[in-house]
Amino acid sequence: MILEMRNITKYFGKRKVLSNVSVTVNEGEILGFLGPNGAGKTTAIKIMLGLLNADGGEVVINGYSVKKNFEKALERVGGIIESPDMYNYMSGYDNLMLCARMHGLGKERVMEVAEQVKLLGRLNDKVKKYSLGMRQRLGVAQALINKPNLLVLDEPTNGLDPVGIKELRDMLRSLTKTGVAVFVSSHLLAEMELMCDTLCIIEEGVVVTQKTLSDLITERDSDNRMHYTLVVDEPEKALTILTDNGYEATFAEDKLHTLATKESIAEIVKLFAVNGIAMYSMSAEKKTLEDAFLEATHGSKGQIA
Amino acid sequence: MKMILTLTKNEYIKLFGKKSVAILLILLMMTVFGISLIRSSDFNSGYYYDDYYYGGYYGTIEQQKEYINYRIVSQQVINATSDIYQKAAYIVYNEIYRKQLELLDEALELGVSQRDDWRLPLVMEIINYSQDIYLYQYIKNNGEYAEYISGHLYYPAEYYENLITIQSINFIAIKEDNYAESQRGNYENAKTRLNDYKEALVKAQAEKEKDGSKENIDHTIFKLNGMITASERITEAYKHLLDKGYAYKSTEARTVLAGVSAFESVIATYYNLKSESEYNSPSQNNNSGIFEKSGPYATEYYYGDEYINPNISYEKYYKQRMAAISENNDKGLIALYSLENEVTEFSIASSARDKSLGFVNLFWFIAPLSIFFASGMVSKEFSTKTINLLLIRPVSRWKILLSKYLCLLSFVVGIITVALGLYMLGSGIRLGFSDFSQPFIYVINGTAHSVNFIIWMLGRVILASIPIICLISLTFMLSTVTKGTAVSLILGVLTLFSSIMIFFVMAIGNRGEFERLTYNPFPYFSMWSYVNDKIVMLTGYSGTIFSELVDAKILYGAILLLSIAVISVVLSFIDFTKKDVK
Repeated sequence: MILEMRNITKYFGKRKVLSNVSVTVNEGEILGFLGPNGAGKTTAIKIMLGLLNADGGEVVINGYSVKKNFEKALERVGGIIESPDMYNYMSGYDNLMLCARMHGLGKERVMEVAEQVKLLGRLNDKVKKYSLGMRQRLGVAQALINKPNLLVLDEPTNGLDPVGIKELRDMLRSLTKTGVAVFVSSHLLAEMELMCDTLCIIEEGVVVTQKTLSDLITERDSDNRMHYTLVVDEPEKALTILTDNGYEATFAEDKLHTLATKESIAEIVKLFAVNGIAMYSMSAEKKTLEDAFLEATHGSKGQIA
Repeated sequence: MKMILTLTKNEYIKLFGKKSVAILLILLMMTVFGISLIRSSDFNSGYYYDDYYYGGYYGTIEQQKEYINYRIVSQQVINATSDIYQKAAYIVYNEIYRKQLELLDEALELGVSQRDDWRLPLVMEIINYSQDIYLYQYIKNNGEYAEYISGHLYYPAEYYENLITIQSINFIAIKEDNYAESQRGNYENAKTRLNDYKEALVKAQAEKEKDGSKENIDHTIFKLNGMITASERITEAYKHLLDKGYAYKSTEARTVLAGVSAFESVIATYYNLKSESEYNSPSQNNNSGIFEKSGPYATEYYYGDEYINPNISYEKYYKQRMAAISENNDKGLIALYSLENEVTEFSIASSARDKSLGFVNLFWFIAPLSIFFASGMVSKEFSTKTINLLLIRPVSRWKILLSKYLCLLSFVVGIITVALGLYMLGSGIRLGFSDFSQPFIYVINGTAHSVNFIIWMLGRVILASIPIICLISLTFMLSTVTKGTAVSLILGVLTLFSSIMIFFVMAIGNRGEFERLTYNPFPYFSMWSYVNDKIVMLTGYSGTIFSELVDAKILYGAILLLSIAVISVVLSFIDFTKKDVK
């Protein structure tokens, strides 16, 4: 486990911004930190990186507490917070050198990272002449400069064009293969869906859920049953068999709908075969991430209220 | 440690990355160098003492002759006069005028006619006294009408004998074109006066022994002792001039005259110093008897009553008089020291040292600029949000802030150092580098000392830099705490100018409060204006608004400002390391 946030609570004045937030990120994992604007994403990231002091809880990175052992904890962390602002009046190279020096690194590493983010050609231009996408890439470059094993990226795709987004995605993917853990915050669902292994949904300072992407978009009930849709030749007979065997099942629009676990679905197939019912198709119903997100956040609203 | 140096290097790169910084620095340095190349006016140092010594402008010898010719009365008038006294006066004075004309012709033959010839004022002095002398000689030699004009002599014979001696010495000096010798008369006068004072002292002491309770007798003895010391020093100064035969307007001759002038002021101040009872009853005669009878020259040195502010207490009056005495005594002692040790005091001629002292005034440029740099040091990182990039590195916050402060401090110290170097270079180019090898002379408790000028100058600049260190620390703290560049800049500059503004605020209706003002920090924020006040210059005058009102407590101010600087830095660190970065 590379990053562990334990029960982080934060107040801004009397307002509780984060309430017992706990998130973990493992080696090689890309975690998407998902939430509507104002949910507390940036606050959580700032606490994680020691910019804000938590009122309760603890952040541990690579085994070191951020509060008690800041320098050790942050040694292998790279990040972009809010927006990748740099010193506009200086060149990209000078900006990266400033960062490199703070890690005891030099020119070679700057060139390496610049190449990695495809910025070599414009490295000696002043940052104020950069496009938003180039600035974003420069931001990624400074985050990568110390070869981090935890990357914390706050809205990294802002301003990137589709090609840039894909490049970033591919880069993160290849980084994870070397064991890097990535923590990405965003409110863009589609990108998160493409990018992340795990999603953590936060709303109004409360973590609603942290699940793998597939778990999140696959609907299960409390007994771990999924919703299956079956197309068979004798639906009425099949319905009777199912209800007789204790499955909840309904028939609508020429299709059978039932709730079943992975194991029990095999049993159903066997039952149909024994009873001579031909099955044309069977599918587990999946939600879109958007549905899942809305469902989760609405649910949380209910819980909080 | 290595990390802090690296971070400081980063700060320098950020600072010099801005074009505006480079432009400002170049402008500042050009200004400094330009000012150093302007020759200082001769207002302070070029003023020659002879000019007021002899009473100022005289006109030429030809003009003087014309004037005397005008006074000669024709023989017809003399013959027609029936009043024997008037006739005698006509005849005797006509003879005197003719002798004066002869004297002037002789001077013309010697080539004394140029306005800047040192002999000219001396010839005029001889002419001035010649009337008295010739009159005295005429009566003494029992001239034809002597009995009718004997009433024209007001002084005792020794006064005229003395005049004769001195003017004949002066005439020899003119003939030989020997400037130093022309001062022998003054030297002799000074010796005579010294003896008069000594006699007066003996008399006063005898009176005291007879009647210890005699009013003001201690005061008189005190005054006489001071006047005797000053008189002795005047003779000492003249002796240097006579022994070594300094040339007219030479540095040494100027030093002698400046020293004499300072000690003359001491004597004058003692002479006019009132005792408490005299002070409180102004109608009473200042002279307590002894001075009136202290020899023929006593009246020569009566300088008239000084203006006395009726509102101040005797203690304050006494303190002021003693301060004046002490300052003039120091001036004189510096002159004597420089004559004995053959070094030049910096103010006696326009010197590179004199010019260099003006450097601290340039702090009026350097201070606002330093405040400007300090104001953005931390707050700019917040306004551009680059603080986020800075603080998520594996470097503790205190190291980051320390490197910023070190960058600022070393940068400002660097500016001052480079500016000082340029200024002294310019002064050297303009007025000669060899002058820097001359020492700086100062007086402590009535004894003159000297110190290497460069070392002394550095000490002065360090003292003058303390308010800048304080102001940048204060602004740095404001920049850290408020995170606002403009706010910090405005507050920093306001603090700087509070040092002047406080006087405007206090000027109306609070005059008596100035003494109290010296205990609060405001006047010290432009302390460089006062660091030169404590320098006693041989010529010219020092002083600012502040020093005229009250004594600036420089050391107290320095400690106060350094404390403010330390508190500011500590507050910055507490704020920066503890606060959330939102």
